[in-house]
Amino acid sequence: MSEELNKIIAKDPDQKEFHQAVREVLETVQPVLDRNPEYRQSKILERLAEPERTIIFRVPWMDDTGKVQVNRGYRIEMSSAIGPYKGGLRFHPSVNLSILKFLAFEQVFKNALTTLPIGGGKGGSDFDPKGKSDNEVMRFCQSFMSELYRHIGPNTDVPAGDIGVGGREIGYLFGQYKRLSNESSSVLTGKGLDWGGSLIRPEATGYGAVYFAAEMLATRNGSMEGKTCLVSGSGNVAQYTVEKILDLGGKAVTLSDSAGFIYDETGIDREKLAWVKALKDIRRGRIKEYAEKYPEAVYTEANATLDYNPLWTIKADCAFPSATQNEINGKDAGNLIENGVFVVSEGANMPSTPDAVDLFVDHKIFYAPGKAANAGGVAVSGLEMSQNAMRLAWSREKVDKRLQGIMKSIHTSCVDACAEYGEKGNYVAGANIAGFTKVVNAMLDQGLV
Amino acid sequence: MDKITQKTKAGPENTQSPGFQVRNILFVSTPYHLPGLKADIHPSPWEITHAASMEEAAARLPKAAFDLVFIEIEALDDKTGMTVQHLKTLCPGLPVILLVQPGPCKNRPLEQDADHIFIWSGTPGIFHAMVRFIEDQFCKDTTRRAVLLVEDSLEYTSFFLPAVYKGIDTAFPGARRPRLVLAGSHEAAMDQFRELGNRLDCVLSDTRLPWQEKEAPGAGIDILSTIHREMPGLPIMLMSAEEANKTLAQGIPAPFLDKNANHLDQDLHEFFSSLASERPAQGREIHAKDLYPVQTSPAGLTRIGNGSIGGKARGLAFLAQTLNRRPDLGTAYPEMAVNIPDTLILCTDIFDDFVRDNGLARLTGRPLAELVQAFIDAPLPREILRHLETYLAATCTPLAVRSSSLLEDAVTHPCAGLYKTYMIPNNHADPDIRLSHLATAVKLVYASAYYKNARAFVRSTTVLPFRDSMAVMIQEVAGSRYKDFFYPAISGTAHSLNFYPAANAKADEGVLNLAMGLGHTLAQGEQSFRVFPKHPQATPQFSGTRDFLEKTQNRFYALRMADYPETLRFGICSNLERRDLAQALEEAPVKALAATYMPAEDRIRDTWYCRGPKILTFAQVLKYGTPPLTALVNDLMTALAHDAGGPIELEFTADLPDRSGGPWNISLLQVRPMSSPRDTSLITKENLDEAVCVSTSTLGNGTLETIRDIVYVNPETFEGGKTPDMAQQISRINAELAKTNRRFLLAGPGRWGSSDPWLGIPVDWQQISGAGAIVEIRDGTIHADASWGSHFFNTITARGVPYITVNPGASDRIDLSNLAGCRTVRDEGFIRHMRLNRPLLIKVDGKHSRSVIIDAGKADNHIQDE
Repeated sequence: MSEELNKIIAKDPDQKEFHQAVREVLETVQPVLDRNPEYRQSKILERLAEPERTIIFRVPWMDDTGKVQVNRGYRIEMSSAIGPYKGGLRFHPSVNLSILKFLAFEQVFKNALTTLPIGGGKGGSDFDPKGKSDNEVMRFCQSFMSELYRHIGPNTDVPAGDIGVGGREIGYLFGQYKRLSNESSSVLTGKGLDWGGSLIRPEATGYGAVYFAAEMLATRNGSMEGKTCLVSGSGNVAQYTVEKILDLGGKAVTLSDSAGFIYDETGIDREKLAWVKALKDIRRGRIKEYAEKYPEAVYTEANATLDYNPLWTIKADCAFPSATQNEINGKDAGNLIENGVFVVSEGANMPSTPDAVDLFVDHKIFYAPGKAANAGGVAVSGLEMSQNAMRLAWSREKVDKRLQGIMKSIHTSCVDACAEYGEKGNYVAGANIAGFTKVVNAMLDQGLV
Repeated sequence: MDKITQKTKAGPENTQSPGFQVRNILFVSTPYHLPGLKADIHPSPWEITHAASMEEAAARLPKAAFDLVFIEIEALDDKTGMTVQHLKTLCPGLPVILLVQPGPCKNRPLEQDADHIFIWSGTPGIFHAMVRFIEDQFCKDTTRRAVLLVEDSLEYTSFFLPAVYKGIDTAFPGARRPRLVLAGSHEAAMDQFRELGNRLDCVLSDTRLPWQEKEAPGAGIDILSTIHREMPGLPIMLMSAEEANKTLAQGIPAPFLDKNANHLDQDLHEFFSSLASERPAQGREIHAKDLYPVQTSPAGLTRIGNGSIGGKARGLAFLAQTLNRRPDLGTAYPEMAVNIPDTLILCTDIFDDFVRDNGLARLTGRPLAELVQAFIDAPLPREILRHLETYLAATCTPLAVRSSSLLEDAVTHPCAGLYKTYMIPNNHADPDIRLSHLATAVKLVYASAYYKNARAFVRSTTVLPFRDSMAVMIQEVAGSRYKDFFYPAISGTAHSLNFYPAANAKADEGVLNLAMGLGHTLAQGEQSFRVFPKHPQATPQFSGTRDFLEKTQNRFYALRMADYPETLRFGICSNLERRDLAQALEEAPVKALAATYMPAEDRIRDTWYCRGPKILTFAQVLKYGTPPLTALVNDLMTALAHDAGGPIELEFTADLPDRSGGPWNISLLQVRPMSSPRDTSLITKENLDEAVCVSTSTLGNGTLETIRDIVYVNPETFEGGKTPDMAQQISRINAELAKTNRRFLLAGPGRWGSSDPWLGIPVDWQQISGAGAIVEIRDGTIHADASWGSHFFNTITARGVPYITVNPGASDRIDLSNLAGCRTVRDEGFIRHMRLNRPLLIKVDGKHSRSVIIDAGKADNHIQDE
C-alpha cells in the first residue's frame, strides 16, 4: 500500500489534504485489495487517485467599484465509472486543488454507495462571497459558468451547491448555463422549486438517518416502534430526525445546541417538535427555552471542562448524533454502550472520533457511519436529476418514498459487503467496501479508460 | 499626574490697573467644542471671539484688545504647527490658558508657554473661576486679602478652583472678597505665606508636594505646622488622597479633607461655611427668580438652570449648529425629513442642588435598592416641577429621559450608555400621573450617577476629584405606535472611522450599524446589521444563508404604551420590552425591512411577502435605496466630521412614513467625537523596536494593558490533521481562564474559526470567549489566505477585540518565545498557556491598521539596566 501512496505523494508533494484522503480510503479497503489481486494488477489505486479530468480556469469579473478581480475556478472530474460526475461547487477563499481533489475523491465512494448511477467530482473557486453584493456574486457566477458550461451537462457532469453556493448562486449559475448552451436541462441540482428543484431537500438527511436505523433494526426483526432515542443538535438534521422517529413510532427524548441540552423523558411529541421548529427557525432562541416551556424537561448546560458530553449518558436504545463533528469521543461511546444504546446512526458529518468508532465496532452494536447514514442529501440530489430527466415534479410523499428506498439499498449494500468480507454487522467496513467495490468493478468492466 | 506649570508673567497694559477685569476673550478650539463652551458659560458676561485654528487666532489677535486667550488643546494640532509661543510674541503679556480634556494626558506634550493649564471637564463654574483667577492674579491691589491653595496636581487644581471660589463667596460675601493664590510646591507656598502674612484669610494645602526638587510625602504637614505655629488663629486645612494622613492632620492640628471622599465638594463647602459662621453675617441677596431661568435656543433645545448642559447635550448643541449652518443637509433627499427631536435640558446645577439639599451624597456605596428609593423619595424643587408641568402640557408623545453628565461623551471618555436612560409612554389620562412618571424618571437618572459602575468609571478616568455632575435631557422619542408598542423602524449608529474595514471598504469611509426598534439593541451590543455606507450592498457579516439565519437581529426593543402599572416599571429595562421579531411579523417595520428565508431552496428572498421565516436584512433600504438612508448618513458623517475637526459617532433613528405617504422621518439623536487613535494607540519607533509582535494588517483600535495570559499554538508540536484536537485543548484552557475572568492573547497559525480543519483551528467563539486579542500567524505552517477575523466578525467588532494578522517578513514579525518573567501554566501538548508577571502592552493604530505587542516587563528591565 505504501508504495502506491508514496507514488501519489511524490507526484504532488504539497497536496497534504488529498494524501490524507487517499491514505484513509486505502486503510479501510485493505482486505478488498488483499483479496483481489487484479485490482493491484490494473493499478486501480493509481487510476482512482488521478482525476479523469482536472479543469482549472480563470474567472475574471468586475466588482462594484469597477475594479477587475481575478479568481481561479476548478472542476475536478474524478470518476465517471458509475455515472455522470456529481459533486458540489464550493466558493470559499480556502479552496485549492488539494482540497478539491480530497473532496472529489471522497465524493466518488459516497455517491457509489447511494446505489444511484452517479460518479464523483467537485469544483469551486477561491472566491469569497462574504461581503459581496448580490450583483458581484451574480457577475462572478456568470463569469465562472462562462467557462464551466462547456465541461458539464446532464449526462456528463452535474454540479450541486456546497459551502458558499446556495440557492442564489445556483440560480445565477443555472441562468448563465441556459443562456450559453441554449438548453434547459438538469445540469445543476439544488435548483429553485419552481424551476426544477426537488422537494424534501431540507428533510433528506434527518429522514435518511432514521430510515437507515430502521433498516438496521429490521435485520433482527426489530423496528423503531417504541425505541427511546437520543438526538443531538436542534437544526434541520435534528428536527427532521425527530420527525421521522415519530413517524416510525419511536420516542426522541433529547435535543441540544451549543449552550446545552434538554432531556424530556416523556418524549418530544409533534406539538413540541413544532414548537422547537418555531423556536429555532423563526425565533432563533436557545434550546434552554424548551425546558421553560415544558417543565417536564430538564436542561443541562454545556460544560467545556468535562471530557464527555452528559447527553450521551442518558438511558436509551438509539442515538442520532446530528449536531457537529467529533461530538462523540471514546468516553461518550463508552457511556452510550453502558446505558443500553445499541443503535447509532450518524446524521452529522463525522460526529464520532476514531476511538468512539472503534468502540462501537468492537461492541458490535448497530453503528451506521455518516457516509452511509447521512447519504439522504446526495440521494435527493440524485432524485432531482431523475425528476428533471422525466420532466416531472414528484410529490413530497413520492420523494420521501424513493428516499426510503435508497436508504434501504444503501443498507443492503453495506450488509452484503461486510458479510462478504467476513465482517458481518460491521457497517463501517461495509460502507467503505461497498462504495469502493462498486466503483472499482465498474472501472474493470469498462476497460482501461 | 501632570504638574502645574505656573509662571508669573507681566500682563498686558490693561492688566496693570488694580481693578483688572476680563472683558474680551479669544477662544481657540476646534468647532466641535464651541457650542459646548457657549452652553457651559451661559449666560456669558464676556465678549467671546472664536478662532477655529491657531492660524486664525494669530490673525485675530492684532484686531481686537483681548484680555485673555483660552486654547483648547485639540486646536494645537492644526497643520500649521503654530504654538502658544507664536501667539505670545504677537501680544506679549497676554494671559493664555490651555484647556485639556479630562483623562490620561501623559502622551501629550503640554505646552510650557501657557500661563496656566486647566482641565475643562464642564465642571460648573470652571470658566468663571478661571477668568476670576486670572483677574486675581493680575490684581495689583496690595491690600487685598487672599486665600492660599497649595496644590500641585492639574486635576485637583482644576477641580478646586471653582469649589474654592464658591467657598470664598460663602465665607466672605461682600465687595472685598479675598483673592485666590496658588502655590505648587513647598517653597512657593512658604514664599507666598511670607509675602501675604496677615493678609491671609485661610490656607488649604495638599500633603504630598514637591520640596527641594523631590516629591515629599509630608511637605504639606510641614507647611501647615509652620503656619499654625506662626499664626495660630489662621484657619487651615490639610488635604490628602491618602487617608492615613488624617492622623498627621490631627497632630498639626488641622481639619482634614479626604480627597477621595465622594462628598468632597460638600466637605469643602462645610469648611468655608464654618469660616462664615465665625464672622458677622453681612447678608446675601438671593433672587429666587434667578435660580432657574428658562432659555430657549433656536435649535429646539430648551434649558432649565444655570449649570452645564453636560456632555451629551453639548453634542446635541453642536449637531443643531451644523444643521443650521448647512440647511441643504436636511433637505437633499425628498424621501427623508431630517430633524432633531425637541429637547428639554435640566442643567447640572439642578442635580447638584437636588443632591445637596436632600443629603443624598452620603448614600454612596449603599445597597442599590436603598439608594434608588432615597432618590425617588427626595422631592424635586417645586419650581422645577412647575416647569415640567408646563412642558408636559404641550407634549404628549413618549419621552426619553437621558443623562447628560459632565464626563459622559467627553472626548477622551466615550462612555455612551453608562448612565441610565428611561423611557416613559407619557400617555396617561391623568396629567398628575404623567408628571410623577417624568419626575421619577429624572430622579432615577440622577440616582444612576451613584451606581457602582458609574462611580467606578469616574474613578477609572484618573480624574479623581471630578465628582461627576449630571444634566438631564428630556427628549421626544422618535417612532410610531403599533398596537401596544412604540418604536422607530430603524435605530442606527454611524462612525466616520471604521476600525474593522472589510471587502472594498476603507477605514475612513466609516461604518453603520442598524437595528430595528429602539437603539437599546445597539447600546447593549446585541445583534445588529453592520454595513459600510459607501458599499451598502455588501454584507460584511454574512457569507451565506446560514449566517443570515444565525446572526441577524431577531429581537428588538419597544416601549410599552398600554397596560402598564400606574407607577410604571422603572426597574429592568425601564418600560422597554424586548420583543421577539416573531411577535411583530405583521407590524409595518417588519414588513418594510425583513426578507424571507426559503428553506426548500436554501435562499433568501428580499421581501416579506412570501412564506417562510423572516430575517431582518434591511434590504429595502440598503439594496434598493428606498429611502437612500446610507447616502444621507454619508453626507451627515462627512459634514459633522469636518465641522468637529475629527472622526465622529452619530446616533439616529429612521421611522416609516405615516399612512398618508410623505417622507421617512430621520431623527438625529446624538453626535460625539470618536476617541482619537492618536491619543490611545500612537505607535512610536521605540515601540516598533521593542515589540515582540509587529503587524501591518490589524483590525481594531486602541490600547490593551491588562492581558497577562498567552494561549498559543506550539509550533514544535503542530500537526496539520490535528487542528480539531487543538480546538478542544483551547476550549479547556478557555474554560479554566473564564472561571477567574482572565482575558488572554490567542496566537496561532491559520484561519481562526475556520470550518475546514486544514485551514485553521476550527474553534467557535464559545471555545475562545476569553480572547482579548487574537493573532493569526501566516508563517507557512498552514497554507491559507488570511481570514481577516471573518469567522468571528460580529463578535470582535462588537467587543472591540483586535484581530492581528502577522505575515512574517519585512515589516511583520512575532516571537513569543523569549518573554521575560513568563511561566507555563498549562501545557496541553498542542496548546500552551503562559502567564507573564506583568501585562503585555498591545497597541493598535486603527487608522493605519498597524499594531504592536510589547512585553512591558522587558521594557522596564531595559530601563533599569540603563
